[in-house]
Amino acid sequence: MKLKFFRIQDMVSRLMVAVMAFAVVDCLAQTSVYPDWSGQWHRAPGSLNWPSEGYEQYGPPPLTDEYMAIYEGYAAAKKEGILAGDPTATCLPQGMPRIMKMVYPMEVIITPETTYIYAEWNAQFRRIYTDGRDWPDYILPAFNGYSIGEWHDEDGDGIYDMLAIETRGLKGPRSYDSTGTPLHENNQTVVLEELRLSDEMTMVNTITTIDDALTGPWTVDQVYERQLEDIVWMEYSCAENNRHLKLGDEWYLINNDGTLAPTRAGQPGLVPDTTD
Amino acid sequence: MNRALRYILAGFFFGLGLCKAVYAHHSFAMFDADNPIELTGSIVEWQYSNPHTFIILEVTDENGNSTEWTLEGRSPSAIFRLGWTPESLQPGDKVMLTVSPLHSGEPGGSYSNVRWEDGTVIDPRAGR
Repeated sequence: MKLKFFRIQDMVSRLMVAVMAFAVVDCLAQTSVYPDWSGQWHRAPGSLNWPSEGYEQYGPPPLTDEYMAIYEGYAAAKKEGILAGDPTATCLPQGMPRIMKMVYPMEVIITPETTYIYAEWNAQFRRIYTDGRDWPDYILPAFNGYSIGEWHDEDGDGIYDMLAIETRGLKGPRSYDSTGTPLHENNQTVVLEELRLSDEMTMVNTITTIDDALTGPWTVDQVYERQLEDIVWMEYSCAENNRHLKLGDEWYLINNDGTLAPTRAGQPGLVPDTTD
Repeated sequence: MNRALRYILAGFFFGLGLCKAVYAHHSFAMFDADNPIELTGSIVEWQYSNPHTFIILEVTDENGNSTEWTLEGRSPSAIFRLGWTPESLQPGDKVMLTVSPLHSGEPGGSYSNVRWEDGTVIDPRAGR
């Protein structure tokens, strides 16, 4: 009986080693077709405030008359000191496509089934499914939406070099940028991306936004530069010390003593009542 | 990117960022960037926090009256990579700042161009 037990144990051990070896070989075989996009990616100079500073290259966003009026309303309000049209001031996520501006650095983590795009701003992950799935019957809306990707080998060398991404299922409020360029409030935005390297140290994301606030699809390039040495990742918790407070339609700056400073001329200040 | 080029770029963005204008991840519409003022005062607190840093600055006028200003700057994510740490500024430090004040006229704003009281631009990598 004892001898038989040891034989079974030996067989199980050999089987486990074989399974693990197969898994490692299979994993290496799969990852070898994926590109090396490691490192820390920083938005390139000149794309500092896409798309508001991309107007020279791409022209203004083709907003419908209705949404151009909304944009102009935000611009007028801002001249008065009202923080209009920028949901991120209250620590809401920037959402798609604005997150891909990458005001702070980005990391791209590639696995066969999923590519993760990490944004240091608000410590967010985008999850790009590359496992061949179809769109689900129901998508719970999210600021970064639901993304399906497909790898392409554009130069035919056997290694993927372009990730095409489609993102749907978005939630609002979102804006394209801090200037308040609006997206439609129906949140039916669809974002198409083509992510590829233009050289070993430069990544270009060609972003096409389809949105009912636009008269047609709008395509811009967002460029990132690679850092491979001395990489540091920072913690980012927006709620830690965000001093911008919106009460109704009014914005306040929270003073160090807890009182609320008005931000526009003629706006009353507030001292919160802390009595019982 | 080699080390020398990174330092050159870091220096460029240090100058562009902290020494001239504040760039933030969200709108700074409440601050009047068209009418900046110069403030000299004593640091009460240097809040090295997200989403943005804050300098709480005590400013004393010619009549001896002091006012505490709440001044917002760039994020640690931006300035740590330029050499700024929570120890770069200390309570009691005398500094000069360029401030875009609140449109309301209240003692708050955004800060940039951080200098010692004598006007020397602070180099955070130089140590104290």
